[in-house]
Order: sequence, then C-alpha cells, then structure tokens
Amino acid sequence: MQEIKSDHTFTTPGHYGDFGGTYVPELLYPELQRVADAYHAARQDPAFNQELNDLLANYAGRPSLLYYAANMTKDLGGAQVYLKREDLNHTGAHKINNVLGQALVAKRMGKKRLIAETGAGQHGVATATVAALFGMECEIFMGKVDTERQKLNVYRMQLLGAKVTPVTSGSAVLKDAVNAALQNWAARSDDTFYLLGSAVGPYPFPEMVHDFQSVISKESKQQIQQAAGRQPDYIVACVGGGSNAIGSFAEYIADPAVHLIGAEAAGKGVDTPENAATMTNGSTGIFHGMKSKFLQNADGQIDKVYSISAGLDYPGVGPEHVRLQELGRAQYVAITDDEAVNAFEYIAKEEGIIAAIESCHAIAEVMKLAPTLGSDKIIICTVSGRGDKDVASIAKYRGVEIDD
Amino acid sequence: MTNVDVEKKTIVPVIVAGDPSLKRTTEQIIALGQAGATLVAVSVPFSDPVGDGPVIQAADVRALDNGTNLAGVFAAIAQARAETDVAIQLTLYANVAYKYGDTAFAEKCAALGITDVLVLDLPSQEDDPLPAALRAAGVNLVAVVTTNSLHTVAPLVADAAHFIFVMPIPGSNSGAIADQLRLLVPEIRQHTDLPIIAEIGLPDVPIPAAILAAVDGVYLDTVFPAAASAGSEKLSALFQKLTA
Repeated sequence: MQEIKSDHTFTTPGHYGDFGGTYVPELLYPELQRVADAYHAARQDPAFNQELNDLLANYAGRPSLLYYAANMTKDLGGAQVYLKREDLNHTGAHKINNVLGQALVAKRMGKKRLIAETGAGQHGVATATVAALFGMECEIFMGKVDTERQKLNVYRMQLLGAKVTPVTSGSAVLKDAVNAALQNWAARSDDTFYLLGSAVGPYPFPEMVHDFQSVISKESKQQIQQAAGRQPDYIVACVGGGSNAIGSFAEYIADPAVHLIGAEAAGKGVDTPENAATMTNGSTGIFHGMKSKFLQNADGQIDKVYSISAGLDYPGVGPEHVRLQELGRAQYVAITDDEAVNAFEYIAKEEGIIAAIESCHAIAEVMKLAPTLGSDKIIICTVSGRGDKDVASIAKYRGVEIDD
Repeated sequence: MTNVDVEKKTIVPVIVAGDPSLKRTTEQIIALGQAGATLVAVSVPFSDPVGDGPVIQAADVRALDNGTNLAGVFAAIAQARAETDVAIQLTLYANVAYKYGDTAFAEKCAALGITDVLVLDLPSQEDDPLPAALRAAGVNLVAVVTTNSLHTVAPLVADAAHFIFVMPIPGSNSGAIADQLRLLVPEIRQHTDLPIIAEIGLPDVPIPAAILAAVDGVYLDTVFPAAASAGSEKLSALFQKLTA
C-alpha cells in the first residue's frame, strides 16, 4: 500500500486530516459554496429540522427497527447480534435518509430541478421518489450500458416522473454518468441541485451525507440502551462510498470502547484484479472532488473495479473513512463475492430477511466475528437495504435458471 | 464585428499527449511551434476526464490504450525541446500531478520549459500544496475564470500571471459563448490587464468572429485533437489556416 504523507495543514473546510477538500473544476466551485452555506443555515433553522424529522417519521417510516437476531446469535454461538433494519425504510434502503435531507436543502435554495447519477439505479430511484414527493423536475444520468442492464430500474424512475438520460461517452458506465451529471450541473446550477448519494465527492457532500445518515446511529444508540441496557461493543456496516457506514458509526466515533468495522467488496479476492477493495488495496489520490483513497495505477489512472454488488462497485471511498482508518479508529475488512452470497442465503434462512447483497458484506463479517466473541458482547450490524433487487443475480450466481 | 484581426489574436492549439502516439506528440509540438504558435497546450490523458468534452475524452481513451503516462509525456516534450523553444502549457487533472509528487512535478516542468500548468480540477480556492510547489519552481499555475465566477472575479485573478484562462459553460454554442464573454470580460478587465484566453470547445472553423472580438485569444481543445490522427503537417496547416 502506497501512502503519501504530507505535513500540509489545510485551512479550507471539508478536510479530514489530509483527506477531503473541494477538488472540482472552477466552474462548480461557486455553486458548491452556495450549497455549503445553504446547508449550514438550514441546520441552524428549527423549521428545517422539524420538516426533515417529520418526513423521516411519516414518509420514510423511521425510526427503523433495531432487531435482536436470536437465531443468528444462537447459531453463531458467540456475541449477541442486533440488526439495524434500514431495509425497512420507504424505498427499501438507507438512501432515503440523505435524499430527503438534500432535497430539502435544494428546496430551500429555490431549486426546481434535481439531478443525480446512478449505477445500478438505487440512488436514481430514491432521488426520483423524493422529486415526485416535492413536485420537482428530475433528471437521472445513467451509463447506457447500465440502462440496458437495469431496465426495471429505468422504468421505475420513469414511473416516478423522472427523465432518465443514457450516457454514451467513455465506457458508458457510472463514472461517465457522473461526468455527464457534473457537466449538466455546471451548465444549469441556477435552477438545478446535484443530489449526491454517498459520503464521497467534494465538500460539502461528505459532511451532508454524514449528518443526514447519522440518524441511523442516533437511533441505534437509544434503541440498544433500551434493549440491552448498555452500549454496543461492535458496529459493522458495509462500505462502498461509505454512506450507511458513516451514518452507522457517527454517534459512536467519540466512544473508543465501541469498535467500528467497515466491510468492503473484495469481489473475486483482494489478490485478484477483480475487486473493489479500496481501503485494502487503494492509495491516496485526488478524484471526484476529493482527496481520498482510490484504486488506481502508479500513474494515477483510476482502475476499473468489480464486485457482485453494484452498490459497492466504486473505485473510491469517502474521505472520512480514510481518516478513521488512518487514526486506527475504524477497521476495514474485505469480503468476497462468495462470502457475501453465502451471507445472503444464511440470513434469509436464519432470520427470514432477504438483505441487499451490499449489506450481506457486513453480515458476512458478523458471521466471522461473532463466534470469536463471548456471549456478553454486543454487535450491531446495519442491514442497509433489502435484497429483492438481488434475487435474480444471486440465482444466476448459483447457476439457477429463473424463467420470468 | 466581422473586422476582427485574427493575426492579433493568440490561437492556442491543444493536443492530447499520446494520441495517436508520443512520437507524434513530439512532432506535433515542433510543427505547431514552427507554424507560429506562441503557446502549445499539451493535455495529459486521464482515465476519467470529468472536465472535458467528448473529443478529448475519446482522445484520452486512445492515448491511455497506447500506454501513455506522465513520465512518457515529459520524455516526448524533452525530445521536442531539441528543436523548438515554443512555450508549452501542460493541462492535466490533479491526481496525475499528485501521483508524480508535487515538488518533483513542478521541478520537472521548470526543467522542460513548461511555462504554464492548468489543473482542471483544482480550483484556486482549494488549499492544496501543488500551487506553492509550482510557484517555488517558477512555473505559472493558470488562473481560471468561468461564467459561473461572474461578480466574484477579483480574487481569482489577484495572483495571475501570463494570461487569464476563461471557461464558458460546457455545451454552449458560439452565440451563447459570445454572450457569456460579453458579460465576463469587462469584469475581468476591471482587475487585470493580462491577456484573456477563452476555452472554445467547438468544432467551428473559422472561429466565430463574435468570440474572437471579445478576447485576446482562444484555447482550442476540440479542433486539433479531432485532427490529430491526420499527422503533424495537417495540424500546422490547420493552425496556419486559423491564423491567416
């Protein structure tokens, strides 16, 4: 692992140690500053927080359950396992927490139009959902290759009233969709808000996503106190860009007694070329608006990455995670496709929960960790989303033919 | 408006290093210098050129497929230096310079007579170590003003040298670019007398007079990359046609 240390002390906002920042074309800088100002003003405004809390409770269905997984606990024969059920939110994942928050900021700024990029379509669907709710125009940029692979999600977004624009430049996948969305934003920032879905990108996005997703750990802290009479020993969450993980960690970061573990995608193995294990194999770089860790070659060209999970299939990671790793405050482990698919089947059979393949990377880590701990220990694992979307690809992975 | 004297305007040709090969990059720099260019911009290919249009994106893919990297680009420029002393600008993304090492990058640029460096994803407001490294090596970090900078131009040009680089909104047609320049240029002029060079990502040849009239020069990042495979004689002919 190649690390470049600097003794530079950053004076601008949005830095986590050496990481973070606002590395964007000058064209986008003024608008990012306006977003940061609007966001900070919003957080000080009781009316904004009240509206957000109301939407989280009455639209998204929060608080999400903290469920004691008795069967898993018994079967794994070690620590007590609790599941934070973000899969039960409206739209079936944690993504809605952040989308509602950012869309409210957009509304406050007087924006009439939301844009987002999407890979597999999950973030696009969440953005289209909230645009429908708020009566805002919505355009989702999606690589042409992805629109063909994910026709159902394209139709979902259209059903919600969004325009889906296939992007044909480059290799016509997620990164090209990001390029197209950024260029569109640069051209139309007067009426448009770019809704970023993960804890990545330029300031203030990592901070906003951290804050809006921290509702996960705010709730779990209280819920575990009520259920077990004390705080947890371990928090486990999956990490792609790192939004559900940062939200799951947020309220515990200041308490060193709570171990924080992020599970990233090892794909076919961290020693193979086909993985997305940024925390394990990545090195420091500057890309997509931030200084962070990336899978890249020695020349700084960004690698193509692979994971069975479209949600973890990203060559970078949020800058705050890199800082937490550097400080030793959080540990990051890599989980292979095989391990994640086993976990997918395991949690379905043990607990009757079909969890997203992304979340199953965290479940797989719990399956390794729990047996090594005593029964007095408590693990909270975030189930970031539901797995209905993954059933067909898991069947294919197992060689089962499904006739639809 | 139609009486613009093209000869008094600076035409900055942009070539993508390594497209179609680094050997050709060397030839192109020499040819453009001989054709009378005062500044040649060499764009370093990147895997994810967020700040570029489709022509450069496609050229970057070809160049990277050829195995182009920054060390190779420096070598190609060193070769060209045997035959030309034309001023050279390097245009690149922050990660490529970062991986090379800020200080090493700046010193290498200085050694090769690279006078100007434009980092497409490093806004002047970001507190990054690269600008200080370039300053220490005596290389100019190009000051960028965009249409979105309207009413906030002053700090962007405060430390500028050589010229001011103006970036219109991507995807604008020539009429829209001319409109944007008419708004922006007077504000820039209030704060600096440096020449104003506008980025023009249009295939339009000749360059629309309404654009040329508004600025001191143009940075053509579509015209030359689109013609790169045709050979360096074609590029110098194109340059001469544009400046005739």
